Amino acid sequence: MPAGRAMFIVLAVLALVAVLAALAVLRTGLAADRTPGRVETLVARNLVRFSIPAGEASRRNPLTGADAWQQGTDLFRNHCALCHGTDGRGATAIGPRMYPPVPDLASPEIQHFSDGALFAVVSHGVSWTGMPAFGRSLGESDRWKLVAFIRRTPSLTAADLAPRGGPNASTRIVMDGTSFHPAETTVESGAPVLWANLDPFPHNVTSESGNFHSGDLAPDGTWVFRPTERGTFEYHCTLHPGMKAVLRVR
Amino acid sequence: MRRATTLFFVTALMLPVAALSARAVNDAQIAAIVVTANQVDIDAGKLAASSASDPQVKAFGKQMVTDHTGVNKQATDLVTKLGVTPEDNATAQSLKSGGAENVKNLSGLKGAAFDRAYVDHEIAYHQQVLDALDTTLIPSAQNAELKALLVKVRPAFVAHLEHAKMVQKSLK
Repeated sequence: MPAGRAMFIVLAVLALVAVLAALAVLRTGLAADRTPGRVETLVARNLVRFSIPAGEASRRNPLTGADAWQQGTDLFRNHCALCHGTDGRGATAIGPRMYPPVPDLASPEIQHFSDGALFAVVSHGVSWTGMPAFGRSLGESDRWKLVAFIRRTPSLTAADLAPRGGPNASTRIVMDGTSFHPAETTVESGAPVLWANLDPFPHNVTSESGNFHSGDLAPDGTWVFRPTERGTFEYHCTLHPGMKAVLRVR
Repeated sequence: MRRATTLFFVTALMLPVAALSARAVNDAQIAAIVVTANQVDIDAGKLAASSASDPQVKAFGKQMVTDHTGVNKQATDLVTKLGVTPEDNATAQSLKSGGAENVKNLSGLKGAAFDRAYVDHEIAYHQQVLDALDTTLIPSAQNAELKALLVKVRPAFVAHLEHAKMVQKSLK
């Protein structure tokens, strides 16, 4: 398509949007105590989507670990839950009274956004809505954790959202004398498990099925993992054959 | 021929350790034996980390350096804390010369021959140290903390032995 024609289409769409917006404002004023109509919602949603440069929208979440969303839980509670609610559903004191209302992040409309698009929205905010830009207040990895959490919202359970204690509150497994103590541990799904290496050389925690892997832990090193998948998981240290244990997640 | 050479060095290493069981040792001598035994494997590990051709053997050598350095640091810290001066003895000296011979032997080898000789020696070495721990070092240790340290590191030697056997199998 020639550049001139593309430009014309963009301008025409923008003009149409401007006319629609002006008509809407003329009809209802700038009050926020009403519900946006279907057309307005559709146009607004798509404007948000199309305003994100393709380069940003196609970015993939670099946090591919199954537990990335868990790291976003506390961030979400601290920075987003005021409007979005701890579960992201938007059912807060503020959410429904905003214009546009705070969206349900678990809804198909929002889940339809790509990871990169969600990341862009978290980073830059959305003008003419209450969505602030977190690009300067939160680091890139924290924003990706939030994206992972948003992805998780459709399947969150009450246990997933329970406030978590610090490492002290977690189940503790020590690596000492080149073995795991205790050799069998049972935990609730979502509860933190801490491994501590008390040996003078590195160990790691690697599940047989590949669900979790700590990487090598130096002497005195620790690793916290919150298993969410229920089942019985055998794990071992890849550096020391025979160093095996079992984690049961209820 | 290379097999025979390896066997010779392995046997040479076994003699002092075998002799160990016949002798009672004090804590100061145990300290010297532990430090020397670890150092010997660190030296061989360093050579393997740089000269081995099989990536598994290389990684194993690297891990031996890391693990035995860690054990040695803990042993040295404990000995310093206890105010024990490691006392050189025939066993420590034999371990040292056996280690030097092993390094010398390995230095003349390349490629798969190096890998096999190193791993064969690691198996023999860890087996011998385990025997020494069980028959002499642990039973003879007087200080409770020294004994506890030996008991604590023993499973690592078992794991290293198993690991070396797995690597040996994969080389064939």
